[in-house]
Amino acid sequence: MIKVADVTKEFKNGKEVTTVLKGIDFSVKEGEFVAIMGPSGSGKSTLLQLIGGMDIPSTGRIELDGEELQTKSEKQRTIIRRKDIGFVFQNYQLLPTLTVYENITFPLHADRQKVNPDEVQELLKAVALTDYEKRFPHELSGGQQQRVAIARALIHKPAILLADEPTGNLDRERSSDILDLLSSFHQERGQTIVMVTHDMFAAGHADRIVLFKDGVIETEVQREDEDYAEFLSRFMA
Amino acid sequence: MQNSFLVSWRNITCHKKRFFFTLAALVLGVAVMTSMLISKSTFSNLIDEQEQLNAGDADFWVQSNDGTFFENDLAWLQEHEEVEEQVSLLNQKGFAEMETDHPMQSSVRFTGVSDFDNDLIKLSVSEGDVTKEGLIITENTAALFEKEIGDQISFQDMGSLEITAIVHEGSMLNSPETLESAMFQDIQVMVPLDKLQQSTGMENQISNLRFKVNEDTGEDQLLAIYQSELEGSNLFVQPIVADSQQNNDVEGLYYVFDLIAILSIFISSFIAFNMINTSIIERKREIGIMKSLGYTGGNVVGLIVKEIGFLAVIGTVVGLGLGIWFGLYFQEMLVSSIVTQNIDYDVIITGPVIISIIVGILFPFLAAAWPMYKAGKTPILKAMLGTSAAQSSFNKLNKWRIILGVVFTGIGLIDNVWAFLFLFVGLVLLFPLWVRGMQIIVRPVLTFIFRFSGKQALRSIKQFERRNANTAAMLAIGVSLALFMSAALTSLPEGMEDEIDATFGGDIIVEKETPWTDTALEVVRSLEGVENVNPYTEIPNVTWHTKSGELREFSIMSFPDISSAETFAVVEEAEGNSDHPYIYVGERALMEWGGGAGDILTLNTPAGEQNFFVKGSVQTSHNTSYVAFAEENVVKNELNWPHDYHLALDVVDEDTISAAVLALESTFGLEINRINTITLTKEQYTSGVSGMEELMQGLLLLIIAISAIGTSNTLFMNTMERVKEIGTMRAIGFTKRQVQFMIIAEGLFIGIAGVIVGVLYGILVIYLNSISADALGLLSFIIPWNSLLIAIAGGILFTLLASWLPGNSASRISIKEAISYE
Amino acid sequence: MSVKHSLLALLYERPRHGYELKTGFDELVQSMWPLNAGQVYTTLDRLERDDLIESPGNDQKDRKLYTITEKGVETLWSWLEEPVERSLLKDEFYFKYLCASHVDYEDKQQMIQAQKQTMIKDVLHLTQMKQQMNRSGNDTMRMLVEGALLHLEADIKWLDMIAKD
Repeated sequence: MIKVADVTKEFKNGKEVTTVLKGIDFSVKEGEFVAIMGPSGSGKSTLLQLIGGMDIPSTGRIELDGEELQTKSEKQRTIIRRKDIGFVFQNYQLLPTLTVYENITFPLHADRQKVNPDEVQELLKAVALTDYEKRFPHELSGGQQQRVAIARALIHKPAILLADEPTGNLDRERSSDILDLLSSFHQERGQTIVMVTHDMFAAGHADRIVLFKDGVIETEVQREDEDYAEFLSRFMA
Repeated sequence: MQNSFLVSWRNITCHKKRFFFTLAALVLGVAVMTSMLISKSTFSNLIDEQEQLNAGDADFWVQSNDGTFFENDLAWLQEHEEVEEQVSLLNQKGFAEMETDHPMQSSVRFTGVSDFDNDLIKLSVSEGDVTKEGLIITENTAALFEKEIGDQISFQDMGSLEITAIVHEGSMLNSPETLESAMFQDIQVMVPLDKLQQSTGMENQISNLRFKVNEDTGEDQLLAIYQSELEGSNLFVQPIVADSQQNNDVEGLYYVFDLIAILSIFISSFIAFNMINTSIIERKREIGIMKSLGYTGGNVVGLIVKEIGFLAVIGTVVGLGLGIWFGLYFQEMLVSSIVTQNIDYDVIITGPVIISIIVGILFPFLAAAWPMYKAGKTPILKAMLGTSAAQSSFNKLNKWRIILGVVFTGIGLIDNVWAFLFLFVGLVLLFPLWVRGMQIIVRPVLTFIFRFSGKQALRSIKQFERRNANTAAMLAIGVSLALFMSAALTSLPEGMEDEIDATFGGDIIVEKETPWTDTALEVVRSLEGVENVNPYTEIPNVTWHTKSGELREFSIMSFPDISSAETFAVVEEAEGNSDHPYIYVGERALMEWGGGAGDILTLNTPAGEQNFFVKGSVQTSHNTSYVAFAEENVVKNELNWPHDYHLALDVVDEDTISAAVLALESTFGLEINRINTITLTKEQYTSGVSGMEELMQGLLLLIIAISAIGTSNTLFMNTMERVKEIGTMRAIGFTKRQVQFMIIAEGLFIGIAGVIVGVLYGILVIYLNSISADALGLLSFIIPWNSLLIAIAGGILFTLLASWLPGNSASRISIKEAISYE
Repeated sequence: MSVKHSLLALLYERPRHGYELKTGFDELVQSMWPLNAGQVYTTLDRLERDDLIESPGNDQKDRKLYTITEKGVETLWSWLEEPVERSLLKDEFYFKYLCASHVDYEDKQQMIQAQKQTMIKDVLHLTQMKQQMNRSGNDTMRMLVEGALLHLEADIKWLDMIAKD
């Protein structure tokens, strides 16, 4: 589904060059829920943005469903993104002038697809916002806003859901809500999810955890691995 | 202190594009205003100067109702000690010795001067020495003959004369530029009086004598003394007056200049207002923090005052430079389109520049007054905790704004020249309402062209409704005024043509050097195509005082009797009767005088000072309505003006006019002073106006361009405030192009709304003017389709251009940065 | 100590015999508290002795039925009413930490890491359990898991804190 091969990413700031990713090899299978963990500045968000086609790697390949992203034009990447990828952000990023319903259907309109109201209703029900479709984002709580964002990320049935610190702005209770929601989409619909987080409680929902440090993957653990906890505790020390 | 200036400078330049566009708008506003003011002052100065030159330093002049008189008729004047200096002039026609296709081309009008070294005749010297006795010609003549100072020109019956001076064209001497125009215009030269008298056999005769008196004698008293000396003779005396109004009707032009100046500074101030307002809303939080750290409201205002100061000063300085340059250029175009000759003039810069500096610096502060007041009042806690302003203010129409808008619009509908300003203030206030309405109309268009991007644009329009509405309102005002002016310029000539048809008095007017005799009239009647012949007369240089004591001058034209008066149309007639002779006065003259129908007007006529009963106010195409009319018998019997110098001819149809003119010229030749035809008069008028029309269209495109800068600025601010949103849209599937289309659609909405509302208001203003009693029926209700198209096309094209740049920069917003915004 | 009260609660629901009480208890705690049959019977004996429950007789299969008495109900209510106090040293690891400091235990860091690992395992385990509860719709239990996770979060934070000293 996702294949990241020997990817590096550099950013130039004047004459200074910072290497954020230093040779990443990484893949995600269909139906997997992967959490990418690491301290801030370790490059985990950058990797997510590369997978989302918002930027291209300095070297290396990124494949999405067999299509190489780094050779595509910005426009082609945008089109791939709006068909195959759903994005959830830390700070929700809802469009303030649009109602909940309009926010959710935005990706369909952007892609000139027909809106099926039943599907929207179903999704609204899944995120428990059935009666909120006419509200504006500023009338909702943070948790509700993030649920709208999740619905928006899933309305076009993307192959992959990318979530960048989806619980970073929320308290434990609302975080738990959001994570449960993501888990249920993962378990019930087989949604492939890649989530960046620095929160172990969030990462615990994933099948696999990838640990990032200073631009390289330090280690990967499967949930069924014996040393899962050991790695985590070491990592968190 | 220096530090706080630095902070202000940093604040104002932190959004570079916004700073640049606002500055550009201010610069253009100040530039247009400066150039308009320079044009107006220079032009009015030019006209006054020309008139002053014509008058020279002389105080009085004596003329005869016979045209010429003997010098020694005025021998008594030599005994008057107050007379300091005098000069005699004789006007005669002749021919230059030159090879031409037609004899008329070489016709010359000589002015014989008794004394070249005098102060009484002012000439604007180009080369040579005007005080030396000899031949003085104008620049055009010198070019036509290819002569220089010291060369000789030969004239029939006079021989060769040496050129001693070349002068600029002016009202004293004024010659044709080409041989073609020499057909209709005399070459005017100045020669020694005795030479002219000898060669024309007019020994000792002169046309007029000008003189200057010493300053400690009351001129009014002297006039009475001279009048009594000349009583009963053919001669009459008049004070010399510099009054340009009978030749020029330029108030309308000045009004247009003022309007454009006001409009441009108004629009650019509004752009400044938009910017300052936005920047203050954006910094609410910052201001709150400053206040929590001990800044007073006054400190905050002080900080912002410095920012506006930077804008105002830089904008004014650059704008002045540009404005002066543009003013000079515009002035030249104006002079060449109106004056149609090369004349020498001084450019008036100081006054306009001072006004521009004051206005240019003051207006941005006025524009910022309200946002500054709000900034000073910012409550600390609310600002620090406050949510984004966009969320709280959108979706609600300001009730007071609408009520005030309705009131102002109501006032604007009143029939008054200045009321329309209220209409436009009302327009600005009501614009959010129009924006709402426009959405219904424009939605399908934008959705059709830009699809979802268009729909999205309409939502964004709502988000910054007030700012967008203000921006569109500016465009609407520009467009509606463009329409109105062009309707006026189209319908004025039509109105004028009708007026010329109604009051010209015939098809051809011929003015002879000598009075028309019965035999001469018989000859004219026998000319082919001539149907009707009406001799009349016109007394020139009749002087009078305005109610505020200014000396003025016009002429009195004769008419047979009121039932057959063809040279004017009565607008208003007084009911009463009077023992004084009746007089009908043109509306402009009446306005200048300050009286009305039914009043008594005192005039200095060839028969001395006389009172007249103003029987009515009239409209006429003669002397731009700065003229009076009296019955023929009054003119001949009571005003000491017995001869008819003028003749109004009717011909069979328009095609015979030119044939008749040629026949007249070949029959009477040198005796003819001036021939004017109804077609020529119309042509002159319309060509003057159409030259103006292009200028106006250019200027109005400039105003639309300033509004377009405002649109750009607004869109930049809109996108700046939505960086996060636009980044999100990009992240969840908008392509760059879709983002760009969205911004362009927003700009287009502003453009379309501005143009549509502008067109509607323009038509409303045209309609109001057409039914207005003030505009004297000169403006009819016509829709200027050409300008309508230009306004629509210009408005939309300029806004498209204006939104392209912000659209582009919005599409370049980095998704990554936008979504990591905290 | 709360086995007693949980049996009272189960009997308050309806009369049950011994085996039913054992299965009822397992269901209540989702088998997370191993309880053998002997414990159930000794507890029942004590409850009957204290007049908190009584037996109306045997059912068809000759199993002894129990019902709750008025006094039993009162005891159950007052137990529910009583707030629970938290004792600082009830947590065993707290005690270990106290003693380890007291004896200058060399492998204190090791001890802390080991505890942390255990807790992370618990987190993962509980997170999975929570997902299960979500699916099965057992909200009460899910809330208990949430509570435990919150405790674990605090505990892990504290471990990080003392690990730095």
